[in-house]
Amino acid sequence: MLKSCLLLRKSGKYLNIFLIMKLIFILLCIASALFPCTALVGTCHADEISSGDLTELSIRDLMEIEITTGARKSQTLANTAAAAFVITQEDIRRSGVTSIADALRMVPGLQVAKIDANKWAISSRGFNSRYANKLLVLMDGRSVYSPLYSGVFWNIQDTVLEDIDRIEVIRGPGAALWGANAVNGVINIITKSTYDTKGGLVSAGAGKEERGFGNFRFGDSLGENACYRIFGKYADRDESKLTSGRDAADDWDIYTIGFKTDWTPTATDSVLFEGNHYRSDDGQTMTFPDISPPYSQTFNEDAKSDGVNFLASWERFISNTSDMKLQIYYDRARIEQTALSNTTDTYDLDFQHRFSPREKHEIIWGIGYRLISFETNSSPIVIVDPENRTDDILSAFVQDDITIVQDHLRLTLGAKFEHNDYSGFEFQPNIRTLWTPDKHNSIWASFSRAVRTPSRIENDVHTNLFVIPPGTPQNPSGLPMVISNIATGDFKPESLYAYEMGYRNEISKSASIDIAAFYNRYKDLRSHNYNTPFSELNSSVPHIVLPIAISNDNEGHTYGIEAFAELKPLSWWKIKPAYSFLHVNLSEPTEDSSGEAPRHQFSFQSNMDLPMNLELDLWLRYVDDLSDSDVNSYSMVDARLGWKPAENFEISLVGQNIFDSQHQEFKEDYLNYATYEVERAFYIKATWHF
Amino acid sequence: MIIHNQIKYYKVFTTNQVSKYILWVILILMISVSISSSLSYASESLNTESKLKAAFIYNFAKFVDWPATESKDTSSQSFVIGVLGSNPIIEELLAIEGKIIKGRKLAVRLLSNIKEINNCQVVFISASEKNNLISILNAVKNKEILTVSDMNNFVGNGGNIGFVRIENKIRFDINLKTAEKSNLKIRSDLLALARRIIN
Repeated sequence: MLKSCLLLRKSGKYLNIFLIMKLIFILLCIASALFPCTALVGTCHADEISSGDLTELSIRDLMEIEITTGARKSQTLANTAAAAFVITQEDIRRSGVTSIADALRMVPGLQVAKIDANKWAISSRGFNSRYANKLLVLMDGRSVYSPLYSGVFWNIQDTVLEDIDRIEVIRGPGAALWGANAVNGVINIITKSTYDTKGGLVSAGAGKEERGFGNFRFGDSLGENACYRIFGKYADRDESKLTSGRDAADDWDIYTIGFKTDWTPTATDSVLFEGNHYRSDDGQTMTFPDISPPYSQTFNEDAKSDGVNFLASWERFISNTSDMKLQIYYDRARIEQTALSNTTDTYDLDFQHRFSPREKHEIIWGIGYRLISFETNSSPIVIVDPENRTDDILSAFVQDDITIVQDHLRLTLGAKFEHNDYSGFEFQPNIRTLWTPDKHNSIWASFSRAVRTPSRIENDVHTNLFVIPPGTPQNPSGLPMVISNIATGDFKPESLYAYEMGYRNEISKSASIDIAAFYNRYKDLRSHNYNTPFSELNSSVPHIVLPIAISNDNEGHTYGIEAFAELKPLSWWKIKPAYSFLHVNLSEPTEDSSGEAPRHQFSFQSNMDLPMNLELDLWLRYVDDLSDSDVNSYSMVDARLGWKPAENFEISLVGQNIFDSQHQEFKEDYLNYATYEVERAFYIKATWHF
Repeated sequence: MIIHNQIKYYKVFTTNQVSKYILWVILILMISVSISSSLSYASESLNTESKLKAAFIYNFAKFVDWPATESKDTSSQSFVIGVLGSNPIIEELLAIEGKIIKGRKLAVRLLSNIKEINNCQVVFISASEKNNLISILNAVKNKEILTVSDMNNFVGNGGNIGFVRIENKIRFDINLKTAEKSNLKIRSDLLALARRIIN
């Protein structure tokens, strides 16, 4: 009775939000039809650009403007034969997000869920989990995917957000250029060139969930043809709430410091060198199995992550159709926690060359070598065998971009070859075509094979998950039953055949739309099979073991549609709706509750430039339910009010999850069974450029 | 049992309501787009490369000093930008003729031969004049004339300010040595924003 009353109130809330938004849109549509920009609003600061007079802008502003021609808004997106989405610096700034992970929520086709205050589950086109393994994530060319956990720890992927130039997201097998594990997508986080970050930046703020944060950056030229920047940032974050309403123990803090230098010794060479160091203390609640009563113990701890990385690259411009790049990086990532502690050292060397051997052909080829060394410490709960090991991966790729009809039809053939220590030799071909009937429309289609190579989790890691006490319905025997994940060591790579197509239209200078559809056929997906239980009668506490063997018996298909549009109904008002639909059909729905995907997702952003240098930004998101995990659908509204009283000073007030005090987004259950809810939050932030 | 069924009913109700509202919102957006594009009051002009470069040149003039030229009383004379060669930038510069730079009115002249540069404060050299570059730069030697161009490696060959296009945005390099030889003073704010400085 009580529960149904609560739900009625909740559905009433849904009605209210959408009713209000509907009314606002109808009013603004009528207004935009009746009043042109200058009548309705006193001063539009977009006026300068819309009326064509750029001389009123400062040089700094002029340097930010992108060249637009009659044909295309952004050359990179328009010519990509793949489902691509670019998150710009403006998108990040006006969304009010405080982390890269949260910025990804605006991308259709990505599933982004906050598990608790310091853990995210992010994936592309399904298979989401904290350890989502079908997504490749790069930061300035350096892979941040953990080869031990086969996933990305999003809390430590951090930098000064104001210095991110853009985040490129491609859903689908990442064109032959990137490696295995780019099965369902590639996320490329690109920071600004140091030439664009000269001067100082200080920003700081505080709020309810963001207890306090500060960013500092200073950049300057170094001599005649070099430039650098150094930065530091710190954030302290509050814990989330449990479903019961009590506080969780997942509060955390993190600091990141780093530098970047650009050097152009000649007109045709550019050299980049950057380094970062981070340290994070993340609160978490663990539930470990115990073979003695009470058969489980729950405790709080602070997982400690820290790392250091360096990257250097040299690019040489040879001609308009030819260039080459050599890149080397070193990455050390350490995690210390009771269940499993590990240090991973990665050494990576990469070479790429682009050239045009004959007219109408553009070839890109490359080779890469990566050495990964692990130093792992097992615990009685998570046993890693062997603890230490060194893996190496040798890869090569080649791609031929063929112009069949100049400016109208292109065909791209590519293939990636890889040799790794788990599955040997892997071959991933793809074929793409792009048809541009006129300067406003483009249609693309592609077919690819992609492979997710086995990782340590499937080969070397055994986990004692939980204990079923004796004398219970599931375990009527007299001995406790330990459920364990066993790695059998003969795990095969998972494979995907992906069929995709898409359509892009720049309807006018103030409207564009992008639609992508896909059908993915998966084989040899990871499955969990119960093996025969056996007894351990000789151990100090006799018990039965029920092993869950990891194998490749799962398979199936997924299909879906992703669409987004960018519209400017008024010169001072931009709206960005995005929608995605995903259908998952697997022979074995994944055993654990993770790996689920919401059927529908919707995101709607509205950016308004108001008089008196004010900005009002709204962001509405709806995510469908994860029915098997019992996670309800939710909608979330964020709002930001920004004010620029002076050229170099900005204050913003951000509210997140405004209409809901807390909601659950995901359920992860690997040694952690509590359900966490994301709370309503707000913060205020001041930014000063000098 | 009964409560469970009631909960299921409300969940289905809200999901359907939500989809309905989503479709409503999309419908309204399509209508607003068609209205706005048909009325076309939100007309944005193209931020073409030439328009941006013309705006940059206007701003460069604010950050450069012509000591000898400015010490004379020149408030009645125009501030002249000359263009050598054919280039779409001429149209954009003509569009801003008459604006005030340093207390003088901006005038734009299409130069038909090198001798006409003498009355200019700024000369924009088109890429089409690449082969005549040496003779052009010789003609401006020892004169307070700021040379600007977007041809390849302009500053390496002795020009004062060269435009560079990097991924759809405009940047510029400065040759401080040749600028100082021409007795031009470039202010530090402009130097700070340059990509490369040759000294």
